[in-house]
Amino acid sequence: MATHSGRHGMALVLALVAVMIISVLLSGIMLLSVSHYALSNTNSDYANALNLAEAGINWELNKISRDATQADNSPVTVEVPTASGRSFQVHVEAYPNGGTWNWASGSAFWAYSTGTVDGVSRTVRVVARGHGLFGPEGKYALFGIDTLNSTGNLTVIGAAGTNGIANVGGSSTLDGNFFFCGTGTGTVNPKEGPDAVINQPLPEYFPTVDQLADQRALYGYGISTTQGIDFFKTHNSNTSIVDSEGKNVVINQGHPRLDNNTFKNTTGTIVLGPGDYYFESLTLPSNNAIIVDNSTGVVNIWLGPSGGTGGFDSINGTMSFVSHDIQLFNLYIGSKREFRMNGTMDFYGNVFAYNGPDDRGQYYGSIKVLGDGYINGSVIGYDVEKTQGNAIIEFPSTGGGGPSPPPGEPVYYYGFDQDWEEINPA
Amino acid sequence: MKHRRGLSLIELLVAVVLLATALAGLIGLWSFGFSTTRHSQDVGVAYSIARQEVERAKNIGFLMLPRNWERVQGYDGLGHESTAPNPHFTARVMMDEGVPPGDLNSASLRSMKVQVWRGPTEGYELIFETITYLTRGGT
Repeated sequence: MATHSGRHGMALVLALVAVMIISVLLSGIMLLSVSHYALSNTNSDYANALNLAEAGINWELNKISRDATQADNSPVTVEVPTASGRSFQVHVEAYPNGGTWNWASGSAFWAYSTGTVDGVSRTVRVVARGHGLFGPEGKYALFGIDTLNSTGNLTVIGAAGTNGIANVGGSSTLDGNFFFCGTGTGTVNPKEGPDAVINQPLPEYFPTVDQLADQRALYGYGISTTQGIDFFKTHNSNTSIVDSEGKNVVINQGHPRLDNNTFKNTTGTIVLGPGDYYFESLTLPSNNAIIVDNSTGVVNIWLGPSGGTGGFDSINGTMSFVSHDIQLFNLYIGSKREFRMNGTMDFYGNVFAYNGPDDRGQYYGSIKVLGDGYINGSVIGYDVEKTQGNAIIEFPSTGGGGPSPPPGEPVYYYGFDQDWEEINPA
Repeated sequence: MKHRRGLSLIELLVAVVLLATALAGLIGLWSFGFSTTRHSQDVGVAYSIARQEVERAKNIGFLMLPRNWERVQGYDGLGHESTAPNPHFTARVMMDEGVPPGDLNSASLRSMKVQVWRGPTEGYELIFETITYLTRGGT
């Protein structure tokens, strides 16, 4: 009977044992599911945080591109709108040794960014630097920001394009792609080419001459200014111009001009060494010549004043260049005067005419290519026209020589350079 | 004997109730565990899909991504692109939704949001959402 009684008790005992086993199993399943759930959520926060960290890097690069003096040398936290609980913290340091980034040098820097989502953080750093408008990082041989018209015998070797209206026909040859950017439209029907017509959804962004002048003042002279091209009225190398025998050439500093009168009492050939030259009128006659001695640095010619009117500026085929590195000569046109490129010279450098807005909110800058020259470099203007002559514009496949931009020269934008890495603490 | 037989029946009933309760809990938790694990797996695949979409957009290029560009793409449960009418996931990429902080006109800094939904169309269940910014020459 005792055994029988014990059997009765066994049912409950067995049930309890089963319940215990089931409880243990349930606990295991629970633990496994919950930990798996937590892990997947953490991993998704990790992925989110990484994207935010990259967002922070790009946010800072964009900020520095707009104004390098606003670089965040100490960490700044930015909340992401439309996404609560998400933020990034970003700062820059000098490359490679850390410390405050000296933006004035236009040198490379570390950009650090930590993205945080729901308490999960990830940190990324990259090496970034300024990228040049011309040279190896340039893109276009010819660009008309508002209009581009060519009805002559123009040959373009390299990319061409417009943000506005293009009419390229006649006997033109396009040996490269043609880009309609933003709302750009028109007719591209040259004798030969192009390789491809590409519709780029976003317009091509270019800084104005005034903005480039401010950058040159900052990087080249260490002066933060918003004077634009007018900065060079008082900061220029005009007094260092000499003729071919080394004799000083007198330039009127009140209204600096480079024209027939400039060549009086000279050998007829003047030499421009590295520096910034500012003129309110440039009419280089064909019986005189300019030697651009850019063998040891960049020669920039700035044509002002900003928005200035009256007549036109021109060169007539008598410029020669000691160095053929296209990054070492730039002609910036900040006035409203038309700039005419005549003659048959071999030109090595860049011509850039885009400025504004004026008091009516209008942008301007006009280039006419009229001669038979061979232009190695970029021709970029608000309005670009080619109606006569047999000019060739070639953007060299190597894009020029040294680093882009050369030290002290304007920066087009700040962007990634090298070494993307995640540096989460252990 | 009668008393003992009654006790045995009660014991048996208690045991059955205990076991039934435990089994019900087991089934409930098994179901919970199954759905949780499935969700976890979906989240894992979803953020891979989102990352893939971010990289795809970056490869198209800052200037070549149209303003307010959107892309909707179906994916199977393993994260492979799918053209099936009822894909396991639907990814939606939205450019320029919301102006990034500190940017006045979003001309040079653009936002990109990626959502991954479970089901053939958005609206079923949002599994994963991520936001990043793009700039010219950025990372």
